[in-house]
Amino acid sequence: MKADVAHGLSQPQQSDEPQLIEQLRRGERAALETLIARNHGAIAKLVSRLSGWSGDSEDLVQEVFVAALANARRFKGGSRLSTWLTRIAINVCRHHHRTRMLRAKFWKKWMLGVAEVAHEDATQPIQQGERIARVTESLRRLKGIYREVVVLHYLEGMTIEQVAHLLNLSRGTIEIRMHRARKMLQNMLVDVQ
Amino acid sequence: MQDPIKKLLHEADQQAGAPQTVASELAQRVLCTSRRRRVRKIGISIVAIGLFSAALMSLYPTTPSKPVVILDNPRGAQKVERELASLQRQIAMHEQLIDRMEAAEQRSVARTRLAWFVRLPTDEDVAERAAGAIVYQADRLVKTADLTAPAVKAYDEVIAHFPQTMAADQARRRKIELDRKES
Repeated sequence: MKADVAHGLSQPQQSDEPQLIEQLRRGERAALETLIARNHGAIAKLVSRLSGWSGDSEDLVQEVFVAALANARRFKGGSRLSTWLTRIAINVCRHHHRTRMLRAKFWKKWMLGVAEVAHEDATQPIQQGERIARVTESLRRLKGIYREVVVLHYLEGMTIEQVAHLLNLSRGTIEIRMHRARKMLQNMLVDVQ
Repeated sequence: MQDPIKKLLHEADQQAGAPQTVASELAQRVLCTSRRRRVRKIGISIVAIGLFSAALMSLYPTTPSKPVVILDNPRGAQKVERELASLQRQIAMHEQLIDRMEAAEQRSVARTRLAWFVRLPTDEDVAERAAGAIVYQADRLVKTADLTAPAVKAYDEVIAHFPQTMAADQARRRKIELDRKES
């Protein structure tokens, strides 16, 4: 609960959540608007971070709420709406990342030249800008499972236990992933630190 | 001391700033997208069912190909015509039989109903009457003309032809009486 409030995903416990979910199951527009008004900011921030601050946030946020509307019937009320939405956001980002990777692999042969040029251009900005760009690029290059724990723990301010609970994994697994993610980031950012 | 990795990530996060997403009309867009996907899903299901049905129909055709072959073959056509005529004859015979059975049943019913109102003489009644008539004529021969020989002959005929009738019993008694008279 502490982390929920800390990372901004949740408002204090809303007593009308069961009613809201019921209305959402019926596909009522007012319920959807309420849900968006309460969670849009936090979900947008999370999605932006999980996608490595890419420009796809808007589409991804829309995708999260579409998925929430489609799966409202399956939500059993075992957790808070914000937690449920966070899980959906993580899944949407995973799917998006997977699709992007597949697409990149497919076009790699044809677009290799363009990609190299783009990479060279990224080295051009000033020192501070370059640092940020390198960090951003490193986060994007991390595998999804590692990026999730890094974002949730470092940027969303969740504890290891909360991350484990959210991803439905053990604490040990999260710690291992954190350790590996840190190693990878250190290697990638060795000249930046 | 703050973790350098965490520090770098926070710097990048601050640099990226707040995500530029617009909440206004998001609900409308979400509803539209949701509806469009539902329609697409239904459309895909219908197309899939159509394709599956078409595949099934091509695997198991409902129209047999044999008649086409028979029509092309004159011998086959003649054979089919003969079989058809034979079947028609059989059907006609069966229809006639059914008609006859129906007529017989109707007659039987009509007779039963009529018997309720007018009691028709049965075969036994007719025999009794005929035998009685012969005995009566024989009695007259004896009484009026004293012709015993033809009377006895008539009694014998009644006894021979209608043995189970009351007239036959009467004829037997008459014969005994005549024998007594003669003796």
